[in-house]
Amino acid sequence: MERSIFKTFSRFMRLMGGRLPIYLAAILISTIGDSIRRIADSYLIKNIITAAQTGNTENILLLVLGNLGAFIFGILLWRFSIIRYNIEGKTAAGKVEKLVFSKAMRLPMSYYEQNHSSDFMSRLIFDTQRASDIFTSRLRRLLAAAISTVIYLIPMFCFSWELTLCLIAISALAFVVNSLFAKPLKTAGRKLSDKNNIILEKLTSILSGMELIKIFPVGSKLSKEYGESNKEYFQIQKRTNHLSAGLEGLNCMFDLTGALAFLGLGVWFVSQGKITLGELTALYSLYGTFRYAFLDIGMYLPQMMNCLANAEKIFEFLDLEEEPEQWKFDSAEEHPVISCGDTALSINNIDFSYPGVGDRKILDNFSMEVKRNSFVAVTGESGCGKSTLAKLLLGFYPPEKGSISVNGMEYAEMTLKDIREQISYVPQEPYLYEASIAENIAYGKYGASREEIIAAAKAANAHDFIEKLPNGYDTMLGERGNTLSGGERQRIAIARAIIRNTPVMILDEATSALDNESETLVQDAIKSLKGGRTIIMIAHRPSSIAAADTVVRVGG
Amino acid sequence: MVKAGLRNGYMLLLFILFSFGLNKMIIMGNDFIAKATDLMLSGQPVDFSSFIVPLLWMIALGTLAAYLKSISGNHYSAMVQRDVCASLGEHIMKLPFSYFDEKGTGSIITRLISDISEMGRFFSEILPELLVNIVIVATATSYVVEMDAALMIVLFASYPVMLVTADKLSKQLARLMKKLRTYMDSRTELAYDAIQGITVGRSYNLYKLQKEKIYTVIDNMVAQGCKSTRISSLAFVIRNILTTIPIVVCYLFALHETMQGKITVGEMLAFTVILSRILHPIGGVVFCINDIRETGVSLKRIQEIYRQPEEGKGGSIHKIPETSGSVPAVEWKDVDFRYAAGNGHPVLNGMSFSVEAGEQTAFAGGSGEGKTTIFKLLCGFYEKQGGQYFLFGHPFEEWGLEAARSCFSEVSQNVFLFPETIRQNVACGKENATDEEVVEACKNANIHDFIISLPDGYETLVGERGVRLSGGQRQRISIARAFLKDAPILLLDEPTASVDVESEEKIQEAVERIAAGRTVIVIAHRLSTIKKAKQIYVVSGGRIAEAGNHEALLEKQGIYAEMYAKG
Repeated sequence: MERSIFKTFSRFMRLMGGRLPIYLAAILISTIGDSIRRIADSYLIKNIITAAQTGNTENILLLVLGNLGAFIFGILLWRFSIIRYNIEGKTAAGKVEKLVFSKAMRLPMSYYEQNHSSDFMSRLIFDTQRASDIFTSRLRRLLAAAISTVIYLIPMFCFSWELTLCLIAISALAFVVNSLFAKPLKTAGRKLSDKNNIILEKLTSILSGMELIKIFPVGSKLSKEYGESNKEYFQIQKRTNHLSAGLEGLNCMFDLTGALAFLGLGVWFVSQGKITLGELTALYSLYGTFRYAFLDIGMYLPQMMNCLANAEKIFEFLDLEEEPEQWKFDSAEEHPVISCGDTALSINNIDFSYPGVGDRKILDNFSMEVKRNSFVAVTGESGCGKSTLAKLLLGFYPPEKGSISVNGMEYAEMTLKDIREQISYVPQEPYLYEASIAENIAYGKYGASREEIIAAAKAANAHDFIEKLPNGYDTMLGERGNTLSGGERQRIAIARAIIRNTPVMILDEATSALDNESETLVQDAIKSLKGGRTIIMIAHRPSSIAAADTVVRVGG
Repeated sequence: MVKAGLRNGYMLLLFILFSFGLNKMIIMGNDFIAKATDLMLSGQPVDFSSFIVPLLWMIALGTLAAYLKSISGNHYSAMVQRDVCASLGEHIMKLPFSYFDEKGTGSIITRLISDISEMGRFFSEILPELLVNIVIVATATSYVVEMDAALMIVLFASYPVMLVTADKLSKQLARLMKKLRTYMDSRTELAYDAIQGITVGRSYNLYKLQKEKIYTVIDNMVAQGCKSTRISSLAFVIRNILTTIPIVVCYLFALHETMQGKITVGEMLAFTVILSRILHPIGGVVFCINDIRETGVSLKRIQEIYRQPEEGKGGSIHKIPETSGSVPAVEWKDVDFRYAAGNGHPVLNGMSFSVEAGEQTAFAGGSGEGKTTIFKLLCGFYEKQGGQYFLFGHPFEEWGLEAARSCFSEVSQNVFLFPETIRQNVACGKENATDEEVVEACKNANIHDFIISLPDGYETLVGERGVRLSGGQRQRISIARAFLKDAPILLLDEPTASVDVESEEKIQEAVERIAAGRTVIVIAHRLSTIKKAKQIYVVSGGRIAEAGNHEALLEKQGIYAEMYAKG
């Protein structure tokens, strides 16, 4: 465990690359700067008190100015290095985010189908932020506390080693007490946040179920549950308050005892001539800062450990296997060379079953040939493998056996990127990105001009309704402005496919979720594409497949 | 919220009192030490034992005060949060549905959740810290003033400068933070967008494009973050210099007084110790402006929700009255309606129709013609702006809203399921529904067999942490709810997406079962299913364009006939 945490830590630090020394130096220098400021402060007090005690005020102004100079030097040094630290830290945090998010887009398709996107994304974002905290705050806090503890001890020992030892003893005691409280406080904190999540969940339920609440007699039950969890939260908080107040009381006791006993003892030391009054006061003011830095170590160390646990999860994610550039076909050696002629797509004897679903073969020795520029409808019962076929054609999964070729090129010899350059895909529920309509269409072709976009929209029967929108082609889509009907969204997706101008187009149940009117419009759009490219239409409704040249039944 | 803050104000007073007490103890302790120092410096023997007992008392009292201070402060914040959450929840339940419909539930939820946590931070951290700092500064100041009133002026001379710079910097910082947050939001959005649309992104080879987009936003985020450190570190520098210099002046002044013999060395010692204690709080009082400003936005937004008027209770009819068969279940005369947020574009424009009790009535028409709006008005989610609406022969205005809504059940494919068990989701159709009733309803809705085939049966969780149900399954759950509710009028929102043949049959059967003996109002997206309806209204341009049964409408050769031909 300890070892793996250390491994994670060193791997995480290595993400910084060549910037690591600068980053660490910035932490060190900023800590030194801050310590200089505080030490200058205590020397200033020492000089003034000594002057008061001895009555010697000759050089006092000069001394004070000198101390102030050191003070300002320290704080400027701190600022200079803390800015550098932040630049390095935040850049590194950005690097982590880039790694994670680009990784998130490169996983094999099966990952997205098995994990619900919003679940895994919110976990991922949380872990990334917590892990990045190491770069932007956690590590510095811990190191700064440790380094400054050591730095403060130097002048303290110079003032009086006996008193300093005595102070360390009191601080150590406080440290122990604080760490004893750490665990119950953490448990209580977790309980609180769990309960808080429940309250928020109930509130979310109330808000998103508002329509039901108005119609069904469920409101009183929900509000009762909400009220109860709110009360329970309060009860837990009340109990936690006693715990944290207990700690605060004890800390105050250490503080007071330490301060008063120290001063009492110090005065006796002064009377013995072991230390001057000025030094004593300076020691006391340094002790205040020392004590906090010392206790901080105990507080920041577990926090750092927690963040490292998040970092470990990030690394687990980063180590996941990605979708390869090219599938390795088992049957790569036996694929026949096809004279492509007028064949656009040829599927030869493929077997396929989803990983982890046992032996059930979705496709069993399936073959199909599609003529160039023909319109083929693929039908079959639901679950027969129609959509799986589309996924195989897009290279989302490799077939277990058999071969696929497009325009005479073997899949086994193509990169996935090349395969996808050949095919435009329109899924049943087409995803539109949170961007304008024009941008959504232009996703089909990088750098498409406005004319091309409009031409594609016209071909997809989408131009007229887009023009009618208040912002036309610049209307923003996505969750926030989701005012388009299913048919309208579908036609935008078809425009996006058209603008790509690929030899093959696959429409997967493109019209099954539409009402009559929209379906007609979409059908018209598809019909107008006939002849210019190879179209494969997956559908089960008779009205959708009427226009096809050939109908292929899968399964059964 | 303010009320809750004031109602629990006594706790806050206790908190202030105890922090005051704690500070008093510390100052007294210092005085003791000062006296001892003076005694020692004057060469007299110091009897330490005489100091021990009062010092121990001080420690004990100080510890107690610290404990009580912490308790009262935390209790205060807990109590305020409890009260605010409770009243906020109650208030939200009573807001009209239109408030949520127009603002978008999703955005209300995300904002509200962060606002509530900000509110918690204000009462648990910002407010107590501000008060403690004020108490420390006040007690220390009074101590200083006792020595010389002029010192107060020295101590606070830099305050105006500090106020101005703190204000300026914090405003700048707030602006930067806001920008930073926008970048963070758009980064999250982009990432979600890319993953949710992965099928499209991958088949269109969009990886590079999307990666570049996200990278640019992340780079902006980093740059913004670096800018804000420049300012926040500058604020730190200025704050430290501005608080330290006046205190140094005070030190020198005290030194001068000591030289003059006006105060003793011991007093001078105590004085410096006290002053060094207020170094931090004195800046804290000013520089918490930033925090207050940030949470202020959230607090204002919560107040905004409180200010939203609650939904009225409606008229005086509280029970569904006995009706003779001749009264139509629903009758509209020239109803006008436009959404407040819809740029004044009328959705319903002189809509008139009547729905006979016990019969099936259907609404057909293109998308965006206002069919769904009819349902929203029927349930009283929105108020019509003109015309008349009779429910069982009584003007809608005379109905109590609750009673009016008890007349309707809704069956649709897009029903909301609470993140609870299937049983609880069905049971919400009727108050105190028994398990037998729930099972009975599910059997009637043809969903019982599916439910018991799940490993946890009726106790299966739905939603994010449980099973995901298909549109057809959701629809059957909503039918089961409707069975439990047993309302006289059934609003049926026909599914748009086709489900496989088998479940289509099951749904059809369940719908026929629940429709029997009830008034049914259907929104039809596909015409094939409403042929049997007694009356079909074709909606166009916010009014009824055609009416009649299937055959009559076909004969008319109008909109309906055209739509039917296309289907």
